[in-house]
Amino acid sequence: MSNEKATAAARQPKPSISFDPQYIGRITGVLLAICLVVALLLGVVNQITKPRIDAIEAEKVRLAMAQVLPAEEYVPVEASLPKTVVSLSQARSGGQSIGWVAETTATGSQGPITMMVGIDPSGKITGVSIVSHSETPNIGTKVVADQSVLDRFTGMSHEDGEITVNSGTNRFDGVSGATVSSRGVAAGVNAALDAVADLIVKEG
Amino acid sequence: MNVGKQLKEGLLTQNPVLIQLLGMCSTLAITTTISNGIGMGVSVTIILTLSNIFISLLRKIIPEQVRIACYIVVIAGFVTMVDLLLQAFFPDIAESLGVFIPLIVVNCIILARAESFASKNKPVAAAVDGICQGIGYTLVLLVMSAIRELLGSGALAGNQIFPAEYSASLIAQPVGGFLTLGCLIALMQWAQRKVKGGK
Repeated sequence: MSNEKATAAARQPKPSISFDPQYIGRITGVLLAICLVVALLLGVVNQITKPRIDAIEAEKVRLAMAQVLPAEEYVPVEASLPKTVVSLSQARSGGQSIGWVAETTATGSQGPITMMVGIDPSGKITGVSIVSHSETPNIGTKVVADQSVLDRFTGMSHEDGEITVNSGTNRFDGVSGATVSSRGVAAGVNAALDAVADLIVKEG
Repeated sequence: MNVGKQLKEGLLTQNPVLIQLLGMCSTLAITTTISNGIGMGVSVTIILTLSNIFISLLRKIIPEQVRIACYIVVIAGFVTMVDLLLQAFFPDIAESLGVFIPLIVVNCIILARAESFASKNKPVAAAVDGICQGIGYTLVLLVMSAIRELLGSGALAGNQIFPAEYSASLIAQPVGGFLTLGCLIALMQWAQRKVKGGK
């Protein structure tokens, strides 16, 4: 308790700012030293956890690929991709191309939604899987965490125009109350279809 | 130093959430399921205890004028470490808590305990304070998330108690967080008055 009183008293009579170089050097030095120690510790922890985190991420992406379009191997496509397409790979089985998987990102209601979209050679969607999202529990998750909703995309293509939510010729039935999340997922699926369509045109 | 008194303060008379009204943001946001509540409570308890110990150790070195900057550096360091460790070893919890783990940096409970307790007491007392306040925070999260999970989605710790169709999904939404927290704070006030009146 005496300690507490002493510091409380020391706090009171120091209203003016001191420009004494020695004093400034001291507070800067202490702050710098604390920052250095913390940074060093963080570096060590990062060294330990980075391989594991990367492995978990890679596994998630692989699982999502296998879910939307099962294939023996996925070969990344070398092409300049629009900003919304994170990666585009060709799915191959027995040396034959059986379609593409595109990882795309779109804006949901709370942040970016990253999804994997499988597309067969005729341009039809074989499956959609969410890789990561930050949608509101019990609202946005009615779209992004419900596979039966995501499966409504299966079989759709751009033949009838761009996919629109709850309207238009190429209609995706969203979840009421989660319109923004539904639109987000539809935007990501559209980006994937566009990217693959571009690829098909280029390859003739 | 008095462990019993500190524990009583952390749990009841100085409960960080219900009496000090600190850390409201995370309390309202993550208490949708019990597993989230426990994950968040344990993370905060660990970070609070570690930062309390370190700030108590450094209390004579840290200059008065830059103390808040020093506290924030220490707290942010521990939060980032816990965040990385969770992502590496408990990816499910890390995913469901999402952005609220990094946001522990600005959780007022930790800064408040650093400023009002750890900077004035010995490391052991500071550690006990961190654990007690952490338990108090975790308990409130647990009660809130149990109420909200049961009423909001008809489940308890992931086990369906009654069909989700009969649940009041309002309780699982932000509105329900405010309502539940308000009721708990009112209950705490009532209980405190009752205890005082009895004496």
